[in-house]
Amino acid sequence: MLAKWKRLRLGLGIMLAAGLFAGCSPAPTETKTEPANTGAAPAAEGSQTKQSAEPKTITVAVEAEPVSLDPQNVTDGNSLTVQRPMFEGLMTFNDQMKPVPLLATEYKFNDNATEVTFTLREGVTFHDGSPFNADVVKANLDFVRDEKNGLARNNYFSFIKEVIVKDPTHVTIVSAEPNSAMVSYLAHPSAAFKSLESLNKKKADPGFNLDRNPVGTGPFKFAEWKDNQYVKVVPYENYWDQAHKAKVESIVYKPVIEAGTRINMLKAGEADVISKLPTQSAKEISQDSSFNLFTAPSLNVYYVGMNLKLKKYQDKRVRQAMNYAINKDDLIAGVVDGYAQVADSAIAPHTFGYSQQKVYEYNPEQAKQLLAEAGYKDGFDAVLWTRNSSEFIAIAENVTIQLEKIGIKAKVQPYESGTLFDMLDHEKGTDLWIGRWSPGTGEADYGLRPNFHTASFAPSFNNSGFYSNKEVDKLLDDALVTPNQEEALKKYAQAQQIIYEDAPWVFLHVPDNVVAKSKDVTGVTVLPSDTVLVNDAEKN
Amino acid sequence: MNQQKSPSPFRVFLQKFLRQRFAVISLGLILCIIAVALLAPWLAPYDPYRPVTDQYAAKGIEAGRLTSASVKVEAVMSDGTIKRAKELGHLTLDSADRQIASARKAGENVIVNANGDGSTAILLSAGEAASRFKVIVSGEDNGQAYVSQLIADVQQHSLELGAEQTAKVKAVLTDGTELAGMNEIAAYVEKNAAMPAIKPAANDGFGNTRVTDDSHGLTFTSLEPDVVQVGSDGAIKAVGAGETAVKVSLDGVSTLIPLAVNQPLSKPIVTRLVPEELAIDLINRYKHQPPSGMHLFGTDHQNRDIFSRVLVGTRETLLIGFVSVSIGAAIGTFLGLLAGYYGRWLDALIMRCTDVLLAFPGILLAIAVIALLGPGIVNIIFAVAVFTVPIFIRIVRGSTLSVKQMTYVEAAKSIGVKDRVILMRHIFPGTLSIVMVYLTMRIGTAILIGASLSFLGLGGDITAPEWGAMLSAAKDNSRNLFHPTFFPGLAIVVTVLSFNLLGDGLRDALDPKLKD
Repeated sequence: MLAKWKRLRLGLGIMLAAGLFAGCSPAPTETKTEPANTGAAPAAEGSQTKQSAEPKTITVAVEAEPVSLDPQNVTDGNSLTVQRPMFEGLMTFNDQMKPVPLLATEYKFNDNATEVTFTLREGVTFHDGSPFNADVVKANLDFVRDEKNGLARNNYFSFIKEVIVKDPTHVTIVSAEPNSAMVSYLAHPSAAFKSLESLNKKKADPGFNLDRNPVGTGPFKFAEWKDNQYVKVVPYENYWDQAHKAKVESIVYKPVIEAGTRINMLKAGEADVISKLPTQSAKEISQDSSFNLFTAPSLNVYYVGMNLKLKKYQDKRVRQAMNYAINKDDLIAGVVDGYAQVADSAIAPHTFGYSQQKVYEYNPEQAKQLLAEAGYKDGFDAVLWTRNSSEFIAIAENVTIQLEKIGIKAKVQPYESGTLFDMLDHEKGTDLWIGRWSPGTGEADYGLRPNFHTASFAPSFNNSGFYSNKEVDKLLDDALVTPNQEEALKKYAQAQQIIYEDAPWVFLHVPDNVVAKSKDVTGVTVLPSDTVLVNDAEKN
Repeated sequence: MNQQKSPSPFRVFLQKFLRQRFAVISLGLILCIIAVALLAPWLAPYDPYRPVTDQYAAKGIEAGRLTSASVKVEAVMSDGTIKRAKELGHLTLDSADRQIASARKAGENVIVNANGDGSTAILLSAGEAASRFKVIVSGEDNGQAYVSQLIADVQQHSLELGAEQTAKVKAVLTDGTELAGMNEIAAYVEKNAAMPAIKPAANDGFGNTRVTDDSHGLTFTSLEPDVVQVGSDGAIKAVGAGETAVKVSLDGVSTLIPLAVNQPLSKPIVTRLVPEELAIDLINRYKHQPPSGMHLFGTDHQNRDIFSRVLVGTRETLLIGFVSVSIGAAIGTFLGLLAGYYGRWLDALIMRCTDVLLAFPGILLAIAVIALLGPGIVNIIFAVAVFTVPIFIRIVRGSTLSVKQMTYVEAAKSIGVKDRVILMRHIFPGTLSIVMVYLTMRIGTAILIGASLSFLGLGGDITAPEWGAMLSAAKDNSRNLFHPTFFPGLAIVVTVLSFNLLGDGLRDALDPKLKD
């Protein structure tokens, strides 16, 4: 109810504001531009310079406006896509989601995997001219780990106990417990570094907005953010890596919520790269020779979550019956036009540590029998929450239709995603919901722990169905502290087997990333974690 | 004679009304729509809530071929034995066009699913061995025969150091033809140099590293060149002791020739994969079937019959229209009568409230109400009623003010008739004609607002067969497909237009100033 009031108030506020604007005299619209001293800014004097400086700008249409440009203050992949040209971390993921050194040149674990020491790259400077060194690493990590600063990624870095500066080029990260996944955690784009100067500014003046003043070490530096219009970045002349210096004059990220509009922009040449294509349009784009289409499996897993606190889902047979009742192939063909594969574990196949499980093949008879054995011969009523985008609604609809065949009558209720997360976090009548999870770190721990560990119960993490299995908890904890990777992987595989068998979710599908671009643009990389990288892109 | 002098007002109305051809047609249409709404469950050919594919069997319609098939895959081992797919550790399946068909390993077999019309090829691979089979969906065969399997052999698998021999290669195509020997294969490669499905991926400008086999024609590769060397013509030469294999590949399909030098072959390896069928026929009936005799309006994104959904949706649409406007009209008329008759502070109070409500655009007011009450059909009815009320208050008050001045009202007042009776018997009938006209017109608007609300996802059950919700679900695909948006849209247009035309006709017929 509170959320609704808020929305109503917002609506009325907008109406009022609109009225006021309409009443105002047509004053010249003022746009506030960040005073960016861009060396490569397109010169406006004379038509000659204008022509020679034909702006080779790459426009990327993304699905939403970034939440923030502070890498430690966002949790969504979309914001990370926008931040990528500006920020870098010690490590990064390559396009196979393997962690590779970036601002570090090498790293070394101690024997029991409680410490990892990084050797830092020398000669790296931030966009504000300040140098990158071990102090910067410590300051950044300490800043995000301080709860008082209220950054969204605070929880993510809770594995760190201490950051020790050995000398300007060596830094040791000590974890609370042995943690073999530490390097993967530090390769995640949220473990990127802001300049020490901007951090000090924030410390001196709490009103300083880090979300809007990104200063990183990347090949591009921040130029301008116009609300609801675009975020623009321009090349940074003193970028450390000559081979990967910026090759275009600027990159502009435009938030375009409607997928149809993104396609129209690509076709009209207003956008060069567009993400999250609706699968129905993918074919049309792929057949057009002036565009390139990229599809590859992502790290996302779609599932139907269930609240295990409710009596009806406490019997494993009910949960398995629901898994047997859904024809996953039918769902994939029907809803995502084949651009997905059946989820055969709780994590996607390209996640490090994935182990394939035996799929619950569609079998309505067995499902009905299991339901009857559990005492729900005539099924039951349920409420299925979903996000309100057309893709999620279509999935929910399909699941509902299929569940009805075994007598489970689910009612679909769509909510705006923020509202939905709030309702799940605070268990405001949770029953069934359509969920999507992608481990940003690309490895099993971040795919399993937040969803299935007892310590991850909502609201602290994503276990909104309150699944709790001591064995799984133990395996996950053990795996993390096992320095031997093979042993750790075995434990993850075992955990996945138990989870798949326990069926706290109805495992649906692993969708493909579908990205399209105009053929004039080259050097675009799509990471399995949804991120579209245009750092190296060129435009002809 | 007498009749001509003072004809019954009803007859005059009827005469005037019948002269308006559009209004009469609209009335007929509206009656039809109402009949459809009442009879929808019996008229609808399919269950609007379930995919039609689930209903074909019950209706005795031959569903034809299947949307998915299970294919047995066997592996031929180097010692001649045959293994089932499930015994092979890792079997990967790669479809050239997953929009047409996809495949995955499921237990013993491989399940192939149709996703869209057309034909494509699916590559099976286990280790270094790979085979291919073709999938034709909905009979749309592109006539292309792909390379399905390679069969290669040598005279001897155990060689002496320095021994030489030549591999014999045979290729099987998906149409069953066999190409024996290098020359035939070379001829085939030349002829099909531009095979679209198999052509190695050109650099598409995406920076992602790709695992693609650049070689296009028949190639021979030794897995361990230290043990055996192989030429491009298949000439094999043993150069070192050990055990290895020669990989023969053509357009992604490959087979292995196990070889051992100066020692016997130890354990059998997978030499090639054999799918049970070379080409599989499937049918795609998942969704978006175009309009046809079987499905007059086609099917939607969940493969539900749009015609049935439009019919069943009529009921809810009319319910929203009639009930909400009736409630709004009843409350509005009542308040309008009071305001107009009593005047003074009551009038001022009611009219100022009306002004406030009228200051909001109708749809915004309705959205605000839904935001307060939550989605659902009852709330939609309430929301639409709320913004109907002020309009009726206005017009009824105006009409009451003028009727109040009539002599017969004054007369009734002077002989002491109660206010209640005057309002009900003398004034209300005078406002009735204008109420009727507005009622009809507002129903059209109410249906439109109701559909808009459910289009915006505020209609409660978004999966219900409701015209607005149907449009909303289909809007993303409207650039590729016209039928899922066209027919629900048409239904809304026809219904709203009918009510508006009828309202126009009524107004003209009830207007005393309008002469015949």
